[in-house]
Parts: sequence; C-alpha cells; structure tokens
Amino acid sequence: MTGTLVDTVMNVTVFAFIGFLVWVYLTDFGT
Amino acid sequence: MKSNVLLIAALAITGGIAVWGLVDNAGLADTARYLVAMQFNSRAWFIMLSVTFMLVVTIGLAVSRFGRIRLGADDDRPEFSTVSWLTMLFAAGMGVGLLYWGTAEPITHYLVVIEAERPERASHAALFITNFHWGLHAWAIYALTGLVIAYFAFRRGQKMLVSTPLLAVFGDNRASHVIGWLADLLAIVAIAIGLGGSVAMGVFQVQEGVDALFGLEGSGAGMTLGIFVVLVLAFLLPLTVDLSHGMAVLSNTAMAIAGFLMIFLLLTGPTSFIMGTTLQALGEYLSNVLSHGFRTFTLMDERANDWFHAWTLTYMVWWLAWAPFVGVFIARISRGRTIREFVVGVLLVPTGFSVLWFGVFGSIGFFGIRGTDQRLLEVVTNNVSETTFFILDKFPLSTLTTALVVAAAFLFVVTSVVSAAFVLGMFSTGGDLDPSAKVKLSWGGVLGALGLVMILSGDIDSVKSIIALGALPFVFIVLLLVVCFLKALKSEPRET
Repeated sequence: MTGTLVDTVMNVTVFAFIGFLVWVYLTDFGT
Repeated sequence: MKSNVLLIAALAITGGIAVWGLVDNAGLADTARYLVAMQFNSRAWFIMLSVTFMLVVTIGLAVSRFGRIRLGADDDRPEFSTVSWLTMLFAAGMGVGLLYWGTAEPITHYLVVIEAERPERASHAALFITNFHWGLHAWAIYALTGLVIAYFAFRRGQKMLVSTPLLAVFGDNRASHVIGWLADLLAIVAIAIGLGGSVAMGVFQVQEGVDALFGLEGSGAGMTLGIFVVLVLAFLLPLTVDLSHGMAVLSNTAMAIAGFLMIFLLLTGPTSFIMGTTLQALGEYLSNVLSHGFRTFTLMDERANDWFHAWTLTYMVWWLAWAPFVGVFIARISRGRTIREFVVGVLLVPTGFSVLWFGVFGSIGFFGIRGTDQRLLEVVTNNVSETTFFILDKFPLSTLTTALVVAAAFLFVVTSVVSAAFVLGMFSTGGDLDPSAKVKLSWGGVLGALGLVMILSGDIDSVKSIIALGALPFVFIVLLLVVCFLKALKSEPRET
C-alpha cells in the first residue's frame, strides 16, 4: 500500500512549486 | 558580459548534449527514456493539470475585462491585416509534424483502440485523441506564452526575453536575475532540442519521399546523411545574410503546398465520407475536449499508461518545448491586437485547421482500412515515416504530390530552423533584435548537430524521449511566467 520514496519526492516538489506560485501571486513585491 | 555567459552556457549545454549523442547515442536515448519515464510516472497529473489550467486561463482572459487590453499602447493598431495575420498563424501551426502524422497518427491510435472497441468506435476515438493532441490545449500553451511575451514587449516596452516577466514582478535584484537567467537558459535548451527533433523528423520524411519517388526500397544510412547535409547547408546559408523576406516566401510556399494537398485529397478522395467523418470528429472533440484534459489513465492497465506517456504527455511536453519559439513568433506578428482578438485567432483558427487536416488525412486512412486493403496498417506499424507517401500513391498524380510533400517538408524544416536560430540568438544575447551572423551560425550548427543526434538514434520514439527530457523543466518556467503575467494584469486600470 505504500508508495516509493522517489514518487513522494517528485510530488512534494510539485506541491511546493504550486505553493510558491500561489505565494508569488499573492505577495506584493513592491515593483 | 552577463549575456555572453548565458550564450556560452547555453551553447555548452546544448553542444554537450549533441556531443554525448554523437559519442554514445544509445546511452543518451536510454538516459532520456529513464528520466522521462520517472517524470511521467510521478507527474502525469501535474502536466495534464498544467496544460488544462493554461487553456482555462487563456479562455478566461479573452472573456474577462482583460480581453480589451491591447498588446501595445492603447492607440496602437494591428500591424498586419486580419487575413494576413491568420495566414501567418497557420504557417506557425503548420509544420513538418502535420505532413508526417496526418494519416499515421489516427491509424496508430486506431491500432491500439481496436483491441477493445468496434472498428467505427475505434476510428472515432483515434480521431478524437489526435485532435486533442493538436488542438486547443496545444494552442493554449502557445497562445499564453505568446501573450506573456507580447504584453511585456509591446505594452510595457521591455525586452523580448523569457526572463522579462520575472524581472518585472520580482524587481531588479540578485535573486530575480538568477531565476531569470535560469529561465532564459532552460528556454534555449528546450527550443534547441525540440528543433533538433524537427530536423530529424524532416529528414526521415524527405528520405521516405525520395525513396517513393525513385522506387528505392529503404535507401539506407548514406541517403539519410546525404539529405541531412543538404538540409544543413540549406539552413546555414540564409543565416549569414538577412533573408527575412525570402524566408516568409518559403514558409508561405510550404503552407500553400500543404493547403493544396489537403484540398486535392479532399476532392479526389471519398469527399462525402471525409466530410461526414470530419464533422462527427469535430462534434466529439467539442463535446469532450475539456473533460479529456483531466484524464490521466491512472486506473487503466500498464499498456494504456505506456500509450498515454508515449503520446498525450509527450505531445504536451513537446508543445511546451516549442512554446518560447512559437510564442515569440506569434507575439511579433500580433502587436496592436487586443487580448481577446489574439486569443480567438490563436486558439480557434489553427485548431480548426488541424481538425480539418486530420479529418481529411485520417478519414482517407480509415476509408482504406474499411475496404480490402489492409496494407496501410502494416505500413503504419513497420515504417511510420512512409505512411503519407503510401496514401498519396493511391491517388492520381502521385509523383507530383510526393514531390510536393518532399519539397514542403524540406521548406518547413529550413524555415523553422532559420527562425529558431534567430530566436535562440536573441535569447542568448540578452534580447538583441539583430543577433550577429556568428551567433546565428553557432545556433544553426548546434541545431544541425542535435538533429544528427536524433537521426542517429534511429527511431521516432527515442527522438520523442530526448525532446521531452529537454522540455520538462520548462513546464515550471511557463507556469511561473503565467503567474507573473496575471499579476502584472492586476495593475492594469479598470477602464482599458
């Protein structure tokens, strides 16, 4: 029932990237 | 200085991949297959979500208040008439791929689906999935990338670079310069490797055409190299002088040939059968295109998943690889148009053309299979590059049409490589709109070498894997660009 470590890492990086995109969209960088 | 570093780094990476492929071709192909499989296994959902997101955003922009924003100053008007703009969009969308896959792709999918479905269902499913691969999702990737580039270049008056939106949003600081530099580099790598694949596909196509014309049976590696050398000379020469007008003529000629072929086959082929099948294919496409964008085949067996990776995911990544290159081209011809006009033109017109194209070429294939001639299935299975010529041979004036396909394939590849060398030159010199002949020639050489690597890999599946490997990192960059673009749009005044 458990997945592989590679699969988890590959997807966690994607989740982090999506979080990064949301952060970029919401943050005011003052530019 | 900084742009010199970028140029050197980009040439080193792409040249390095080319050398690796020339020295240990099987090693490169195996590594590409392994890495791409790993990405596709774990991130298939993310790739599908990303391209569907891009389609939804593109349509959303057209129907929202942002649709009225002009790609240029508010009083700018389009540089080209709508008809010539649409013709040029055709040219961007038409490429050697359509000539290559016109009949071959629907039949390839048919051979997979027929194992589980009745023939008529399998034919429609095959046409649907082909249209899905070449339709709105592909053009949404191009449209959105083109929009981002055009918006920052023409409305904000900034450089035509992939890094421009990042610098505009994150400000002029060290971190954004690093991210921007990486984005430019990844775009260059994706374009160069993607175009190398086109060179290979063009050579395979031209060689099969020459074989068909002169009745040669599998003319071998000597002929492949001969065609490759002629092709390289044909695209290196125009790089040394300014032939932008001449290139437009060549590209229009290739497009006119492709258009003529389609109409010729429609009229001399089983016209009512083709029109009936195409109309139904259009209906099925329109009804299912959005939901299919969310399909990942996860619960299906390994064979279905392998097929999904080799086709749908590979295509989506392939369009991403081409996105900065086609995006720059579309942006350059779209100054002065509103976002709404831009989206309607770039999404609908080429998609409509693709549906018609595959409707004609695919239907003719299915018509042949329904008859007694099953040899088409063998051709598609054993030597996919031969498919178009096998079909043409069944029609009148086959010597002429075969020669025309060879000429069009040749011209498509030459004009693509010449424009790509220009875009690569521009990206790698910090946005110089007139890169020197030396820089363009260097890129022409790298594109040729990458093309040779793909040819040496010998089969179209290796070519696809190598392209996917080059383009995968770019998925992240495109999404970041889109977010930067949406963020920049927020600062547009309400009453534009």
